[in-house]
Amino acid sequence: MAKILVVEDESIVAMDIKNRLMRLGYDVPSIAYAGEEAVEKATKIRPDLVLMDIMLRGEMDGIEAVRQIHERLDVPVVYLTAFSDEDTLQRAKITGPFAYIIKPFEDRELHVALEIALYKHRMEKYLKESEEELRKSRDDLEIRVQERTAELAAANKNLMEEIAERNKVEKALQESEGRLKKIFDTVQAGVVIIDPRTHIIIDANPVAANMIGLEKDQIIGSVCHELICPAEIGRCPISDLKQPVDGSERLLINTDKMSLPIIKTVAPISLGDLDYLIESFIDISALKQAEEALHHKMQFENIITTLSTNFINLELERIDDGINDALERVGRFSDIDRCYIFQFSDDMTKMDNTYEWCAEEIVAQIDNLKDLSTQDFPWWMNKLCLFENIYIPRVADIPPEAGAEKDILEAQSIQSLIAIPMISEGRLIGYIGFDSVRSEKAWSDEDIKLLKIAGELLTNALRRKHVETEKANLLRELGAKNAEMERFTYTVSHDLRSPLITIQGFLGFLKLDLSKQEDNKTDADSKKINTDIKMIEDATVKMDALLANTLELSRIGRVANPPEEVPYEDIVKDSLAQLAEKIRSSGISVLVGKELPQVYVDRMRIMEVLVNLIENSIKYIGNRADPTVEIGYNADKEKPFFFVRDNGIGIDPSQHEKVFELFYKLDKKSEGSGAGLAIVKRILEVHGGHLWIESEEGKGCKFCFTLPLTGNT
Amino acid sequence: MINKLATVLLVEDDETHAMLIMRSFEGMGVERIQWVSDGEQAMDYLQHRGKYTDKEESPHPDVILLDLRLPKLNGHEVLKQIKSLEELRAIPVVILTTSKNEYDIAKAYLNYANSYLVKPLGLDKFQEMVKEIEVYWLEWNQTRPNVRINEGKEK
Repeated sequence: MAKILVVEDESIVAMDIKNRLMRLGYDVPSIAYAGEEAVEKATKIRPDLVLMDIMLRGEMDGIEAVRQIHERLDVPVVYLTAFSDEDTLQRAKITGPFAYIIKPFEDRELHVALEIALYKHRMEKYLKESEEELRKSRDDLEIRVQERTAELAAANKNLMEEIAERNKVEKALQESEGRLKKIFDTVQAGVVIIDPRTHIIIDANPVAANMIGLEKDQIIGSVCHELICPAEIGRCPISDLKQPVDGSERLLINTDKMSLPIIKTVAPISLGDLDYLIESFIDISALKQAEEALHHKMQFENIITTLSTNFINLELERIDDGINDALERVGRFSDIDRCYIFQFSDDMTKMDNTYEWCAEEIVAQIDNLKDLSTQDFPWWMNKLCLFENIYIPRVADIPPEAGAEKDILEAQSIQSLIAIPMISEGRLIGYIGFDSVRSEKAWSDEDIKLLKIAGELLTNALRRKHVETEKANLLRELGAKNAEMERFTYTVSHDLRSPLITIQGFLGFLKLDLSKQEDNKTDADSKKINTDIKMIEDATVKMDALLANTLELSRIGRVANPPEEVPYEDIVKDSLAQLAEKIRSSGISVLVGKELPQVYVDRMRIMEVLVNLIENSIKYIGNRADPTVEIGYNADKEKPFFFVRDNGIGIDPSQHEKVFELFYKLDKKSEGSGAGLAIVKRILEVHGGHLWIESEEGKGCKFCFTLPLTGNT
Repeated sequence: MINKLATVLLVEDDETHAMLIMRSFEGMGVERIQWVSDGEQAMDYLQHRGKYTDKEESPHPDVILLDLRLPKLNGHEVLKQIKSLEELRAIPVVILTTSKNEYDIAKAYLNYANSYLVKPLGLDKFQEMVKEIEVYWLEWNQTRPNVRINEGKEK
């Protein structure tokens, strides 16, 4: 039964309609009497149809109520209206009513209208639902199609990506391989791949090829030990000695058969499924050379340090040994054949080879190179005087102006040499030389610098020797002077006191003797007085002679005539002239030797020497049948000397030293004060010469002495 | 006390000094002076050689006055010889010299000199010194008696 909501503001009409509807078989659960009530009840009871009176009392008319009901429910509406103006109908039309029933109406009319409205509404609703269903299925299908499409698209995308990835990997692989090859070719180390079973090289990079000096193709196929690590054949650290990795310094042989020091590493490597060895190496010859140069320099510095320490503590007598030792060490270290020192004379006119060291089997030259005239080597001397080193890598190439130098160097078979000036206190004193005889030799700047240091060291040693020698000489001289001075003061105090004692003593006696009474005086007393006076007189004469001689002796050293070049023969002649009378009266024959040299002396003093010596000979000639004095010169090469020889009584060897003492007299009764030989000795000493006696008692006497010579005899 | 003439051996090269010494001894009258002028003569005298073989003429001296600066054999050498000879070493040796040199003094004592005197200036002092020598060495001093002592027996 269809539920119908009746909306009618006239309650009687409403009841009537309800009754009629119920008869027609409809259910009328409620009646609404106003628009608002109708909206509320429709919402509540959800009728199948609303029968709506258009004209309602109140705010809301039927049309408005339907509009609001339709906002909430899909329900068919049939309007009831008593009249119908055009406006109202127009408004009602908009609400889509199923029918209009004009009042008054018949039941049948109402029934049809309601049934049609219900049917129409049902049909409409069914259509609407079917349509909805259809739309829904279509939408489903659409979604499914879309989903499937998306799936396909995704699958497709994956596939694309996979392909892209594969392309990328392939490209990267290609790039990587290229890069590795580039690295292999470019890395600044030689790299070779070796078959560990056969030691055959199967690959080599260009650096390896370059270091070995062969084309890559020539290297591949070679046994590695022919080229690298020749010493390790049969004991390869990896394949023979089973080391996991070898890293060591080895040798590489290049095509020039020159060994190249390398640092090398070898390690196993798997390529594909096969095992190989990868060997890489770098050339360390530059490093080695630098290392060797440093080592060389350090060794040399060690030598220099040792030598300087040695020299500091060396006594004067051992300095020569020290210098020879230094030459040997430097010579051996520099691997040269001869190492030597030349020293110049003070006036630079001469040079002497003073020290030399020769390697084994090298001929020494030191004895051939003495007393060379420096003016014979102008080129050489010019360089040295400018304090320049002389470096001759090839004697054959020596400049033509150095002809003399070339001759002397070639005479010693010298091929190369270095000479370094020795400079002491700003003065050239000599040079140190280094010869290479067996081969030509080149010295680097660094070598020369080191040799220069050695030169300085030796210069200092020579200088020290010079200073020490001078010091020792001075000390010796001072000692001798001191001793002489002591002897002199001793002698003077002793000998001068002697006559004073006599004088004072006899003055006392004289007083005593004179005090005796004149008339008591005897002859003996007068004789005593005379003796006293005589003693005093003699003593004063003696004293005067002593003082004169003492003064003379002290003057010898202080007052000297300038030395002159004079033939010795002239001095002899003058001396003999002075002694002519004495010689004549003594009956002595005088012999003068031939070929007497030229001397450089204080002429007057040397004449004094001769006069004294000849006088001495005359004095002690004794009773010879053939008294003779010989004045001569012994031109001995080593030790030439002058002499005055007699065949007189001679002097016992025990007296040889004593006779030179001041105031010493062999025979008290002889003339003179005993100062003659002391004066002779002193004069000769002042001349830098010395005096000695060769004599035996009874066999004559030979006074020998040396003097400075000049020029040629 | 004095039963025989004492003997003085004077070794002096300077004649004037010898005369000075000898004259200073004059008047004491108890001795005779034997003068020699060099070292060799002194040794000849003491060992009775050459012209001194006569022991009466050249008697054994009671004291020796020895100068140091002597020709041939000097005073030090003479002293050394005297003191090295058994028969001479007991004779007192008085060094009488002009040298005050320390070296000479030290060397003289090293060689067993019995005394060291330096010749004074002035006759008074000279005579005084000679007098003292005479008194001390010839009067007070006891010379070695002629008695043999066997040292070996006492052991």
